[in-house]
Amino acid sequence: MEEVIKVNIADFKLCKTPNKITTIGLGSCVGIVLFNQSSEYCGMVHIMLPSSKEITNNTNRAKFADTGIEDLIRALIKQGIPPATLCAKIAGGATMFQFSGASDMGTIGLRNVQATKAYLASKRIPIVAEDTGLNYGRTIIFDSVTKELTVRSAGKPDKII
Amino acid sequence: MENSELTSEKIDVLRELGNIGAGNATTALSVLLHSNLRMEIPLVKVLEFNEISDVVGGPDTIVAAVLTHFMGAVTGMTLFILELEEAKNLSATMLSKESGSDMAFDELEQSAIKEVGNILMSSYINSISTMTGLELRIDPPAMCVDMAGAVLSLPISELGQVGDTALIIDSKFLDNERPINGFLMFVTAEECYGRIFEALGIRS
Repeated sequence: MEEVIKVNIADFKLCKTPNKITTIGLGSCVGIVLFNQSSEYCGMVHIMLPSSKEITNNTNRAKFADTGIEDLIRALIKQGIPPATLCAKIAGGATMFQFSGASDMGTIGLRNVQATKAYLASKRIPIVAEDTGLNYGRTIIFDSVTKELTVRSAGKPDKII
Repeated sequence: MENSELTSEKIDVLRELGNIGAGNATTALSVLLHSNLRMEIPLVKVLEFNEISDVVGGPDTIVAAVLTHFMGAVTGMTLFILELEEAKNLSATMLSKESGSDMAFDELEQSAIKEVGNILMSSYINSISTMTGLELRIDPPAMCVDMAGAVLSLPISELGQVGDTALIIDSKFLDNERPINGFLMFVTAEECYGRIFEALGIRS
């Protein structure tokens, strides 16, 4: 019987075939799935802030794009996956509220996506699919067998990337 | 905020702040809607980020939310969150017209809900300002309709910069004794609560 593994906010988990891995209600946060075509292991991290370096309280490493992805890569390497074979699918980073005044936090989704891309590029991990930005929330479900990422949004048909 | 730092005295103070803030907000809304609104005693909770959306029925519950930032001596945000059906009912009451049950709100419906949120949150913040003597002002509100998890990602990210939990004052409303599936949430960082306690003469 296959399971659906749930990743919380500021959390990462690994998933083994034939299971699925999901995170619910990504808004400005970004969900990053790392996998390769041949391994039975994949993993997902749900980050909420761009950088651990801008913040003093950074003990929860999965909260940030840089340290969150770094830890996920490490966990996958431990399962015997060569880092050079990893690729990524990413989703989220929406702007949920449009404020009339200029607010730094209004752009948090955008900054999360930028930081995610920059970190993945620095590790030479290609992004093979993405569904980011715009103004709506996303629930994502990754199938470890087909390597498909289903993006589910309220009032919209499912999107498979 | 560490649970241990929040004594029962402080929880009582926060509950009372929420009580007066939301009480004034309820009165303002009753006048606007010509209805008999009441509120329950607010709950003061320290929640992990993952638990916040459970307050509104889980991360995939569709909600309508009005959010405003407040600033001055203390910064933070207030949110007025309603389940989709409640939001539809509210805009129908405000505008005296039926509204569909889907997620779409037209411009008029959106501005009706935003206005309710604005009135509630302004009276809430004004009462806190009056009680503490701290000068606070609020930004114009913004609204969105989506999954609770996604809606709450903004306040959670803002709080995530300083900690891993949220202290929430959660006030529920009753309309002629019928509970409204919605609430008013006051969110600020730990250091700001410190400033509120200080202004009220409560030593840490």
